Amino acid sequence: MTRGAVVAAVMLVAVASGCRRSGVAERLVDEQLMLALEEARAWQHRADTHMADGEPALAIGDVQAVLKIRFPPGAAEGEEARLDAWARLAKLRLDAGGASSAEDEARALASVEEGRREATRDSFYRAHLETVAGEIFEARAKRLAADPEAAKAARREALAAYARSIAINQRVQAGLLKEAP
Amino acid sequence: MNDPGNDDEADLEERAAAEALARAFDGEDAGTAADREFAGMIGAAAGRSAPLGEIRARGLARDAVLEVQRRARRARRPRWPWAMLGVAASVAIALLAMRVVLPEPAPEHLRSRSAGRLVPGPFPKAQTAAERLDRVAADRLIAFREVRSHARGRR
Repeated sequence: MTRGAVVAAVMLVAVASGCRRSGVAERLVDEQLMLALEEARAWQHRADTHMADGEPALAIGDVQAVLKIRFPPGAAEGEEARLDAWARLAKLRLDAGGASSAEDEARALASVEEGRREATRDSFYRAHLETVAGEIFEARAKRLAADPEAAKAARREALAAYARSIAINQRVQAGLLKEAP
Repeated sequence: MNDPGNDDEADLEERAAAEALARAFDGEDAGTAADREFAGMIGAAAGRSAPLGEIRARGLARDAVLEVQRRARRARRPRWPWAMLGVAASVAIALLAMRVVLPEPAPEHLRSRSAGRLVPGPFPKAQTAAERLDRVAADRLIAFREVRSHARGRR
């Protein structure tokens, strides 16, 4: 009798949830998302223009402005635009003063870390963040060329970051292939 | 009705019958079966039950103990499976109601989603963040226009 009641309860919920419509996030593209994307796009173009004028500090300010935009909560486009902004900020900080210094590298790696913390799932943007991390460690290895051991350690870090990037890209690509109609 | 001349004789018969009845009433194996039955009826009417035999008494006691045990078992039996069934039924009804109330999901190209297909990685070195956003914004603008025209059509 007792076992029968438990089995009946489990079956009831299973059948009812089987009837449920797919639980895909139901956020339609809306005005709020469009406004946020357009604003981010404008700031990134401003950064391009400032870089073309040789003004990396202003470009950094433009990219930081992207990170202040309020994207609709849960919008994947918002997370991806922010990850791209963190990656670009890392690169700008690395290249800000010509040849990178230990401080530039530390600032750049801090930006990468911020992006890593924000990422909620695998994406090409998340993989790109690891690629940028690899580039920062490569730059460190070049800076430390006089110290072969330290340079080798930096190169190992770069290799690990690139390996993470490749693994994420592969997972995302495999997911897209699986979803393909 | 009675013959007044035979009063003594009748008394003797009545006395003998009364004595047999009295003995039967006291549980002695005396008198006829009818006397013993009658004595039992008188005893029952007077609230005096006949002494029980030991076997019968044990049987009654055993039945009483079994009844108590049966009731205790019933009280100990867990009720949570039935409560669980009730909750499950409520959840099932809620899920089915959601299915009726919620609209069909919108097509994927009108929903907010990852730009993975639109801007596939690994990103080329020459591609800038601005260029990636150009593609995403252009694609979502088309979707946004479609969403708005659907909304206007419904009104």
